[in-house]
Amino acid sequence: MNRRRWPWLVSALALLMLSLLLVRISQDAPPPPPRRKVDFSVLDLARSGAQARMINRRTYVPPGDTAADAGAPAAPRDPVLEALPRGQDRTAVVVEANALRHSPLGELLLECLLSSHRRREELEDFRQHTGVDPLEDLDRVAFMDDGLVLSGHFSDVRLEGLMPGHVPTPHGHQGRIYQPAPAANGQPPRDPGLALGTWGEQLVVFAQTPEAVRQILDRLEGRGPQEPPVLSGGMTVGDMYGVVSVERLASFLPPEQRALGERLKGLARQAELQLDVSSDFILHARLQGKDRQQTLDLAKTLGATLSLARAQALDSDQAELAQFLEYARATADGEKLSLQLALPLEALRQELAWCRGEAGSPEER
Amino acid sequence: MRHVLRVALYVLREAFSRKLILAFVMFITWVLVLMGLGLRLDVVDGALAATQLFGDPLHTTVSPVDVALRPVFMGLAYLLFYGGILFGIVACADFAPSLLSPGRIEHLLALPLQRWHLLAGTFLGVLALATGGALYGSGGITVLLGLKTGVWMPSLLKAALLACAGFAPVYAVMLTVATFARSASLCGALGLIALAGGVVAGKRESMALMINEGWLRELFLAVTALQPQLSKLASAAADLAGGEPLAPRALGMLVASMFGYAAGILALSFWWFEGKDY
Repeated sequence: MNRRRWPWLVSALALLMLSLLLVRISQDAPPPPPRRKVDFSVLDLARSGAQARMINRRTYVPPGDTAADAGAPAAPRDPVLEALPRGQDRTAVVVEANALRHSPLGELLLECLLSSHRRREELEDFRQHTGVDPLEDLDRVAFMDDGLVLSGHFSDVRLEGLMPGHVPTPHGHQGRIYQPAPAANGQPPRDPGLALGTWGEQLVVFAQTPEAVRQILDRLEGRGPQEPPVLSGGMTVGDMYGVVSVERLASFLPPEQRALGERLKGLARQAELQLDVSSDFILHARLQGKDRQQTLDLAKTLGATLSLARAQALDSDQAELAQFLEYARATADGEKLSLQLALPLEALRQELAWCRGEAGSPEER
Repeated sequence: MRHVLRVALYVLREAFSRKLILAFVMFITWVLVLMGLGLRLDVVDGALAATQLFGDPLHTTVSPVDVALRPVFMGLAYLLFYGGILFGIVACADFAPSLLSPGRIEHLLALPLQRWHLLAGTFLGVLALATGGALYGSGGITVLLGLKTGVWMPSLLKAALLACAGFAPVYAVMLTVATFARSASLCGALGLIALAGGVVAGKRESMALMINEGWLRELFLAVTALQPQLSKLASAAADLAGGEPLAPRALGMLVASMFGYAAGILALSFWWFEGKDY
């Protein structure tokens, strides 16, 4: 039978050419926008570059260092870490003020803080009065149970203005404590409610009493308890890091989360925190619990809370926030609880939009 | 079209009379039952809190269910794609040769059917079988996980359909080979070569860089340009299952190219079959 076959051959060639064309068009199509990744390794000491920073800050050998006295090479230490409290159940949080100030979040917060003319004037007054520019001269701020330590460049500091009627008296090798000066009329100076000390030209110490300042300076110069500081060098990763007593942490929770606070208090005494804001807001928190099952139950509660937050973000069309909350997780590893959380910078910008709206009238600006 | 569908139904009836297909369906059912009995998922407010497989805890990281299961779905998508195509090659290699076997083909050609109806119906029947199997497996997992977690994720079903689109050009090659030589082993071998060629074609740009610049590289690019990019489709299926961002237009073009390629090869088989004397 003579059947016409050539239409099939032509169709075959045409369809094969068409498929080649379709492949070519698919290759030329623009690729989809990649999923925003969150890099939690910024909080990893070995991978984040914080190790070099940690080593560079080890510039101080305490005079009471027995190894140095015995002729062995002295192990230099970070003076800010040496000033931190010792022992369990203590709170010490270090903020890398300089890094934070130059981060995207820091720029947002600064914009918020300096949104009014009055606040800008106050900052300028402070600069003129003390010789310290908090936005440039400050390196780190350490918040502790018994005081506050600021590190930075304080060679031009004029702190007498902050403590009228007080004069610096030497304490230890490099420390100075501002003590009340005897008044000409014999009257004691007005109590400023604050005690102040300095250590060289790099640390300023604030506390409630001169005795507390003395204790901080003693720790720094090796005259305090011989236990290691609450923060080791390995924990100095990120833009904010520290240990917080869970009691204090629970007190910061809103009233509707009071039950969660009670559970946290029952689980652990101390929490380790690390925060990085060099691009987005990345938080890593760790607790050492006492009971495996309790730790697991708390991890489930926290994980469920984060999951609900993600569902709410999806419902309210906050796609980027929802994408970031995908990376939030709570992990229970035996008695250790670990919480990882990331928030996009854009979401924080929206949250702080109210602050930028307080700029006042154009004349005031 | 009615005749094509009748042939397709005939192929399906024959498939279900074969023990290999029945064994495959029973195997998938057995895996689903085992997973249903052995997999325990602890879900709290949409978060996967704990996973146990036959009593052994798998992990204790608490995260949203769909996020936690993404790597599982991506792995399953790859398994469905490549495993499914491999099984399809093995199980369906002798459908066309047996249809075209002496005695049977004369009987079929005596029926009021056009020759191309036989081939098109066989192709359609096998594709329907592959689609049914893929949807049964992926649907079973989707229903199982949906019942256990309360979260319904149909992405694996979509990935299974992409796997069927990937099988279309492979089986078109096998069917065409059967019209040239009625050999199940040759059909199977060429099916495997088409699959391997498709995997290479999807990665041709990166593989071409491993060849020194010159005529060999140009030849490699020219040869691989003629083959369907199966590995690219497999990656798209995994991304779809895992909720990764996709370019819908590019994916649509890729799927259309698979069916275009299959149709082109089938047209070639029609051309050859029309000219053959039985």
